[in-house]
Amino acid sequence: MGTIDITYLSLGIGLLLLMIPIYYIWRYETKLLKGICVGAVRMVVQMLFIGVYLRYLFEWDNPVVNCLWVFVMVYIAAETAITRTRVRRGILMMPLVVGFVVASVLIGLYFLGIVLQLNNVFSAQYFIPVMGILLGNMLSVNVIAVGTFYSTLQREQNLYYYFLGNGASRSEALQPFVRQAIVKAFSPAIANMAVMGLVSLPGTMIGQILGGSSPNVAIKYQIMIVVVTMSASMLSLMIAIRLSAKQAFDGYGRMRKIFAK
Amino acid sequence: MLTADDISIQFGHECVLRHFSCHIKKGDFACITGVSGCGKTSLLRAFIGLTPLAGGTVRVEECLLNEKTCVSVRKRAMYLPQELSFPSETVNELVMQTLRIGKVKNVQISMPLLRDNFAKLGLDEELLLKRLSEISGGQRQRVMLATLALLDKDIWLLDEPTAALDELSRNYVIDFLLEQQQRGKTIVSVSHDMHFASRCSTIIPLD
Repeated sequence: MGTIDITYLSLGIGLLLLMIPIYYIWRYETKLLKGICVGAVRMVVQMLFIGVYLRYLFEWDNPVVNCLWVFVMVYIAAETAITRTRVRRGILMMPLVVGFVVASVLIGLYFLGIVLQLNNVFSAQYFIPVMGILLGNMLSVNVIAVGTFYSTLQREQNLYYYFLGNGASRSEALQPFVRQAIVKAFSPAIANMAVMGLVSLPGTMIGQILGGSSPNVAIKYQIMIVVVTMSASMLSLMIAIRLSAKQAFDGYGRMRKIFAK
Repeated sequence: MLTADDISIQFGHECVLRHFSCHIKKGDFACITGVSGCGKTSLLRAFIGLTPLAGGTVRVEECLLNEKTCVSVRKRAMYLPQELSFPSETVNELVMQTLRIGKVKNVQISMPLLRDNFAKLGLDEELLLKRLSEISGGQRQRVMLATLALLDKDIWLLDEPTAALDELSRNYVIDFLLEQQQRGKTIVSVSHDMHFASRCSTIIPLD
């Protein structure tokens, strides 16, 4: 069973559907008009380019090149997270990169090496898509959670100092803020997981079925994708918060300047 | 007990306290007074290293406050800020969360003491069952004082503990603090309230 190709003309016709969100974004003056237009153009251009890159990556299938490519993705993800959260680069850049790399390596290789039992875990066909899906999810979770963590901390610093002033260690005083960040970032994913198969049929599974896999195989992949993305997101978030806290507070536990101008 | 020696406090280009020194004896009940913005809260917080110093030193007994000693100093101190938005829904949750900071293991043993403190501060025990949004700012302040008292710290640092209170409630708080002073606690409070200041054993004016 082959997949029906989408011609560029059909793709253009399909993109016209974006007029619906664009109209309402414009109608209600949400200030998202520029964002959605730029985002849509970027998406199309980036996806066309990635089609070309991936063809070469798959042809070469070189572990070093694949790892370098993943590192480029990590760097871009970290840059994006910094732009979105507005947390100072000196505080967040290195913790994000370390968090993304450690979580991708541990969780990604666990999936590829132990669960899928691949002989070559760096095989481009598996390594690149799996790392891509992990990084995409880690980015979304870190943007929401790290942003929530530092903005709540900034807004409710009296509460943090109350805990600290009454003898809590820095990590104890940060606990309510970490809790809030986790709840905000993971609630949608947990809710989505609970209705998966009933309400939502996720992209990976649909993609595999459209690509010719049996639904049985696609379902097992989808379950594992949900598990590995959630695990990697949590691991990277904990690393990012823990490492960035070393830069965000001074030796007395007082907050430094967190946000860039 | 608490010594500020030639301290200066500066926020950006604004110097709120310059070359200031004071000493608070063990068992003292001191009140920091002064006009708004003169650095009262900053001085109070400097005693536990929450305010960055532009110069000078703070000592707690013989211990020089620095990055290494600040945690052990804070373990001896109880700090009640003036305004606080607590992430709890009910008064009971607020109490439990505060006891958790002080690592109070046996909450059951603490409950009779808490009821006793509630009574001394003019609070109804039924308040524990209410939602935080249903109680007034003054009640919340007294609930926190009653709860923090269970942590049994040596040093009490209070920021405007009577600011949101009527006269009767204010007297409950003052009597409660005087009783704690009798028990050997060292109390330092920021206050605009001249009646409150007149009941303290030491006044530290910042004007």
